[in-house]
Amino acid sequence: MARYILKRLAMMVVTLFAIMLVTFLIMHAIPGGPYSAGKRLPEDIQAALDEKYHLNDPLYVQFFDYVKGVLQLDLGPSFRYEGLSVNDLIAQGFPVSATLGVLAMLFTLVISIPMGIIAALKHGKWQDTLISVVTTIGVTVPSFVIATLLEYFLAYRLRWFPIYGVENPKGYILPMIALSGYYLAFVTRLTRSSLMDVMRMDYIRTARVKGLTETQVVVRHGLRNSLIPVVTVLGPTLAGLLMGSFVVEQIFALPGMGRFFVQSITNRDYTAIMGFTLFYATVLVVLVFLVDILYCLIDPRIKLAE
Amino acid sequence: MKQKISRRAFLQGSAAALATTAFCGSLSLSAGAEESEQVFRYAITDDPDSLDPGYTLNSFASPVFYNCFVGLVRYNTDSELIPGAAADWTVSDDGLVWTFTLNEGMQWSNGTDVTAADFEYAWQRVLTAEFGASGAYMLYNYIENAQSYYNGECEWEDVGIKVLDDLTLEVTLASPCSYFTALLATWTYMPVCKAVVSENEDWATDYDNYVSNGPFTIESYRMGEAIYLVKNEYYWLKDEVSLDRINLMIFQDLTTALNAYEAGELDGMTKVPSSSISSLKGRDDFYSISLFSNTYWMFNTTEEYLSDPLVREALTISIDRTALIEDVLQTSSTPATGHVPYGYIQSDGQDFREAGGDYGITADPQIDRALELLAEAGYEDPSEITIRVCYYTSDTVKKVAETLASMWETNLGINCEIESSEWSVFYDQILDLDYGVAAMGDSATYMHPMAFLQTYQGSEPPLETGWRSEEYDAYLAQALSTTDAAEADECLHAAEDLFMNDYVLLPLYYGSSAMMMKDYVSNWAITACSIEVFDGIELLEH
Repeated sequence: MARYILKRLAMMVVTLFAIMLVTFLIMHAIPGGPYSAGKRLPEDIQAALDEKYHLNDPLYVQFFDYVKGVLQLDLGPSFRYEGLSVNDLIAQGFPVSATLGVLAMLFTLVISIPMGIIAALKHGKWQDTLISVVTTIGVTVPSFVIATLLEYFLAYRLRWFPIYGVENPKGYILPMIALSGYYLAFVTRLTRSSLMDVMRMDYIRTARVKGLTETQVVVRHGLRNSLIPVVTVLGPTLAGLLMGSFVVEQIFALPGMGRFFVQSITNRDYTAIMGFTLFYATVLVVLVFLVDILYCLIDPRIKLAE
Repeated sequence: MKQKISRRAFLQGSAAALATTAFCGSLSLSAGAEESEQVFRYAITDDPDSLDPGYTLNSFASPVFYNCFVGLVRYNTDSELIPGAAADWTVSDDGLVWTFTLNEGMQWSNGTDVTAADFEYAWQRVLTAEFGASGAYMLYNYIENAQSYYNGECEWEDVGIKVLDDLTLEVTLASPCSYFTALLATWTYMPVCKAVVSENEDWATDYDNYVSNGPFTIESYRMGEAIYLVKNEYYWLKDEVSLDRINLMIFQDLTTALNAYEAGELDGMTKVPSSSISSLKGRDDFYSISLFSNTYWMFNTTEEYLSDPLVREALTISIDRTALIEDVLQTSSTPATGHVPYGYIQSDGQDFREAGGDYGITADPQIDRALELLAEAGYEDPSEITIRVCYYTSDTVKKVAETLASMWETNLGINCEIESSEWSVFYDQILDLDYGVAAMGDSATYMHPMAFLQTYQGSEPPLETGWRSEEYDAYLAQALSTTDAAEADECLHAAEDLFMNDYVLLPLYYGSSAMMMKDYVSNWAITACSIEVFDGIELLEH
């Protein structure tokens, strides 16, 4: 077990380094630079800025300087926001995005797993049809549409929720729903199909023959085995949710991190592009790793391989 | 030291987020304020890239700078330029030496005195290359030896900025510049507190210790949320300020901002969603402010078809500007018939644009004339012509590009290939002269035609159209070096005539800003250069 974990940790470091390198190269390959957001500046000013941010150094020097900073947990100064470091930007935006992401994740699980179970057990009946209609809508309607509708009717018209911001904690509720929409539908369908497969297995029949109650059969034997695929998608899903959503945060005017991802690229804010990608990648590999460990807790048949 | 702080902030952020305790939104500092407080809540559209007036050219910071700082001159609520930190000034006969006398008793928001040395320090900072001010050229284009200092070719003593005593500042210009006062109102010329800034290079992100000399100062700033300004109790004209606070609320989504405005959670907004303009137009709280800005398209004068001025003229006059503005964009912009917008009053009292004429360009299309021109250029069958219509990613510009292309195709029968790319890629293409016609626009930070004409000077790096003229450069140089205002105006007209008669640019419309302000907000102004004058605002009973 310990050896396995060590091996995985080493792999994670290699993965992150590779991501850093590839991002760095792609980023420098696209046209434009950090100061081409407006019209071109006079040459001497351009030169002074390049000097200030070390953009004149050869690429490999810039890359190793960056890696050196990262090893000290310093993601460098943002080119777009003078005086702020990428660490500052993450420190400001991540708490909001992560809170929203955790809420959306919990909301997704609390709603979608029971819905999936109902749909599986009642498959072919009206409950299944209803859930399948709802989930189809959830998968196909983009989050910005859901967000705009929620914002307009529940916040602006009915005033049940704040129109913008999270000064009032109630402000998290509508963005949470908008953000969950897709995942909710997805996890419901996954639970349904997985549980339906499991319920056809021989050991379920055996459990029934032993005289267990239907609840015991479903919860202890059916659900536990059917959750493996669900757990698999949890890692990447949670990582995505934690990073924040550009559109949902924009519509509800939340000071989260979602917009930095998009804006850093249009601004050619090199350190920010690197920093946010690396941060996302780190969270992602860590969560995937945790999911792998979670497998053996859920299903004792799975052993962590050497 | 800085690194240490960053690392701590980073770890705190991660820890806070990983904690599963749900709500970490903190209460706004403005919450719980007494009811009698006069708070003005105004929506802006993005975070500023810096809150240091010397550093940035980015306009998102403008409501902060114009309400927290006072330069030597400032604007009043009638959009007139009036003395600011300078009580008065004298100009030498040759127009070169400007001596400013500062008001007595001015203080920074930390209670220390504002002196001429603060101005000198602020300007020296902008002119120091290592500092990296994008707007350094706003100073070094005009002040004697300033560019040499910027490039390390002379000492600070040689630069035309001298402190004569605590309240007297002498500025020597490289050439007489009749619009120097207009420049002085821009934020690049604003002072910073020498005592604070020289000790703390991070002063502009250290919001607790932010120091300014104007009606307001920054109390706090939550990125992506709001910039909270509070009245500066040390402002020397504080009795004229009735607001206690200005909350600049950041809304990237204008529809959300409009919802908040309609719900009474905002008193004004800097911009409305373009899709709502037509429904808001008739309302009393809707304002369309004419800006000193223009939207035009550039011709690549080195391109196969467009190298012929006749073709360029034909394309220029075959546009239905009225339909574009009223039906497609649904704004209140003015059709453009020249490069310099309306708004600059010449020495003879006439508006520069009216005096300059329209170069045969009309708001409505002149299709027959355009076809004649094409025939004259040798294109009896205009369908031989194919033009690359290039624009940068933006909803408005996209509408314009599609409209222009369809007008050309229908009105003239030429072919258009529409190409879009994001700004950085687009602008690279322009500098490489790899385009046909391309979307462009300028907005001036000071009220003078030079703000628009200088862009197409041959010595400037962007030769974006492939067009250059020594005569043009000579006119501009003459306009800058004469002390005779009438002569300067003449030179500017001559320069504009040169490239307008060559049809290098296709003028479309002059900008306007569609915004909302509740009727109980009185005594505010937004100038044609988008300067927000909010210090006089009074909130009436409502």
